[in-house]
Amino acid sequence: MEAVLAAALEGLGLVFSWPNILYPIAGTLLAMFFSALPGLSGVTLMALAIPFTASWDLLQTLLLFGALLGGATFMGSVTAILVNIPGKNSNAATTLDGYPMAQQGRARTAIGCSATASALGSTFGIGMLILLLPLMRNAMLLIGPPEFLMFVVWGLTTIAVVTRGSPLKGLAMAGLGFCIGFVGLDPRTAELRYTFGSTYLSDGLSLVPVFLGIFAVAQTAELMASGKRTISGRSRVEELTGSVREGVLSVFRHFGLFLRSALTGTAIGMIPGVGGTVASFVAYGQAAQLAGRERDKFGTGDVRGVIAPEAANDAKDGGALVPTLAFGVPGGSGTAMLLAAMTLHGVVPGPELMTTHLALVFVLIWSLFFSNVLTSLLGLAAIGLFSRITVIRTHLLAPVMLGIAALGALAYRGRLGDLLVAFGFGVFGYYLNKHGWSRIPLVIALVLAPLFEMYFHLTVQLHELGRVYFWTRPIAMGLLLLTVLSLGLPALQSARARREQPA
Amino acid sequence: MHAFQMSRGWLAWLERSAAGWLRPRAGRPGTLLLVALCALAGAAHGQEDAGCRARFAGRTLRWIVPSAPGGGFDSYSRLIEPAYERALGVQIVVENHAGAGGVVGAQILRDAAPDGGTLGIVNGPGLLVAALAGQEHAPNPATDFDVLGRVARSQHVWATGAKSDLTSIDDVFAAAAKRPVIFGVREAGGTAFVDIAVASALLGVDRRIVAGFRGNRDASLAAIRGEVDLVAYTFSSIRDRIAAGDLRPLLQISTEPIAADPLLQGVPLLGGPGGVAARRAEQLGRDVAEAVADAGALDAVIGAGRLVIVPRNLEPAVFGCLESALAAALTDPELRAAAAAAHRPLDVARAAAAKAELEVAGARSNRFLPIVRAALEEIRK
Repeated sequence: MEAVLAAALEGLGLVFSWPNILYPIAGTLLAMFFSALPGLSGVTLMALAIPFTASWDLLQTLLLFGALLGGATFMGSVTAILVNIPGKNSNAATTLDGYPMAQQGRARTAIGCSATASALGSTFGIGMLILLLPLMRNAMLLIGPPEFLMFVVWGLTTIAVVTRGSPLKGLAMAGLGFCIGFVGLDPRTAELRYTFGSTYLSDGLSLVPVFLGIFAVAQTAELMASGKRTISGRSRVEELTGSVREGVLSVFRHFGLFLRSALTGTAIGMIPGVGGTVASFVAYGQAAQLAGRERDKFGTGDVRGVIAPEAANDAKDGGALVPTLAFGVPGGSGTAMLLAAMTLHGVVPGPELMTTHLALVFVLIWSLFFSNVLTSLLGLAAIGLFSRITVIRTHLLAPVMLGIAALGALAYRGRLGDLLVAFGFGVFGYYLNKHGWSRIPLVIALVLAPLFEMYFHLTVQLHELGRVYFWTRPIAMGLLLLTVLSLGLPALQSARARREQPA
Repeated sequence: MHAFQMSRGWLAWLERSAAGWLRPRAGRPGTLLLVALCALAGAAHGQEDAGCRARFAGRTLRWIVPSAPGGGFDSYSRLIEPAYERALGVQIVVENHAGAGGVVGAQILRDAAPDGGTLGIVNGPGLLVAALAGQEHAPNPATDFDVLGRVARSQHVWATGAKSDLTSIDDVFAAAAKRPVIFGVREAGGTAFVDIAVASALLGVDRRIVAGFRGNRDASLAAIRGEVDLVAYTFSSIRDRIAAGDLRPLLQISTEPIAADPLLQGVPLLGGPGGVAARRAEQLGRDVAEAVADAGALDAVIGAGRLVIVPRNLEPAVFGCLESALAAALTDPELRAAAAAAHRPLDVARAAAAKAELEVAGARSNRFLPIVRAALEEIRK
């Protein structure tokens, strides 16, 4: 442990020395700019940075990549709150309560809350990463496909919570999400499903254009159809209610929820390939499930619906570094880029990295931490500017929102098909909302379907071959119990509430 | 074996000869003639180089990578990019077009205008085995493109988790006699899948393939956890796990040693006269010569390599410029140093040699069609 502390201090000294500190500052600012544009992300920036940094020292590269990894997370939530356009897929859950808060003129509170939950969530995730450093390799060996499957199943229980209106309609939308999620090549059998001979569909529908359609395009259409003058219904900044202070304090008022969400985010971040979208939706679902009688407030502009996804989304960065540093298995696309940059510098993740180069690991960790905090501070400082968006006239804002959505869809992979998908799902999403069909079960199912399929098939195959025994794995069983409780507890609470009501 | 090494040999010979001829000796009337020829050749090369630079001056070329950022193809591309820019005096934009196991990017390359503005890297064996797996829309690397050169060969190793009871390929044979040996792969029908299906048939190994891992690295993690017995993976991509002591290589799917790497010391070869395929054929009473030929064919298919290609029907002068610039880039000392540091080995072949090898691999791959189809049928049951 002394060696870990010494390496932590050495890493801290390296990050906060001149001119090293310039790298995380530059990385954070670049990542903030890029991640504010839907479709582009810190990952795009990292891909561009790899050739530039090939000739740099490893230290400078880690300083920059740590910042790029951390700086990209928060800004996507600003657009999610202000205009219902998630900057990244993982910010989609923030739209559920963040945007209604902006519509109520409380954008400042929502962004203040988001910035605080992000910064603290990141701190929590990094703290957990440091605690797990000596144990991370053994921890990764304890979890396999059955545990990953149960994490996904647990995530699916969120659908039961976030569905508004008819449960049957919610179930139908989830089913539709699963069907769409299964489009493309079945990796187990190499057979194409529902692609109608199209190469575009052979990898399935990408979430970025689908989310841009369902959130940005549909929301813009709704805004235009609603006849509202502005998003918030106010025409002057002075008329906006809420405050940054209120947003910041709300995180501390709901600190238990924050801790629970950050823990969920860190744990899900450790699962390779699952990422922030699942982490934020699961955290949101848990927050709503455990809210008891106040569950119905979620989705209407409840600040807890912002705290949970934001804390989980930023905490997952620390978790995602666990498989990356321990075994070279990237937790998500951002850590895949980091791994590519490290490989180009001849760095091998694993025991040697965790012993001989531990100080460099801490350089990465502190740079990530620094950028998360800096992003949140800059976000807080710019809230006044951001909140002005909610008082811009609809006829001026709507074309810009549509333009950003179109640009985002095209910039993502440069494929025209993505633009068509974004606008197709935009029209679909608009009519779903108009006729009272909740879009969120569809989105959650769409995210979880490929993961569910992958881990279900792997678990079944390995079980049949006698390599994993589902019923004897304590972590899988614990997660199964958690899933049952997640579904059963709200039902019990409702039953108790009905009994307590006077006849 | 490699055109680049051969051309370097010729250059060295020319250098030695010229040095010898240039020594001031009496009675050597050809001296002046040779000096003049060398000077002329040098001037012509310089002119060609200058002509290519003038032809491409101010142009921005698209370099298509048919996979997501961060993988092996992306890493090679970003290593080559600056050296190629220096060699041709152009700006290169690397574009990632992932999808359908590399087919999307390959289709973009196939369909691009043949004006020298688009080039890219493709997975030769991936496209060859896509045809074996019945993916009709996958471009054929031997007929749908022109090859500018080969960057690296992709040679696989079979590896097991460091804590596995299987410590040698003979242990694998012994285990397979009692129970099926379990392999983990990312997708059915991919290169690793074909490697396992063909090599295990060749070695008479009873095996099951668990397909559907998120990536080959996840399959490796499953081997480390002991959920699967073995993985088949490109050595350059798996090297870090072997170096970290997480995986243990048991077999090189090759006819020659993959790399002069201490990590592969003592790891047997599949092919060649003294290879495991020949030894196993003898043990099983099969035709040894046929086994050696099959192992060679598998090596040719998998080793078709990471190829730099352009759309067909490029103007010959344009093709020549792009080809010679690639050759210059791939011998650039800065690139070589960066590739070595990143453990991305270069095994370069110029256009003619790479294309010839690819055509041979394409022709040989057909013999594996029944084995691959049977393995796919088995997994789809």
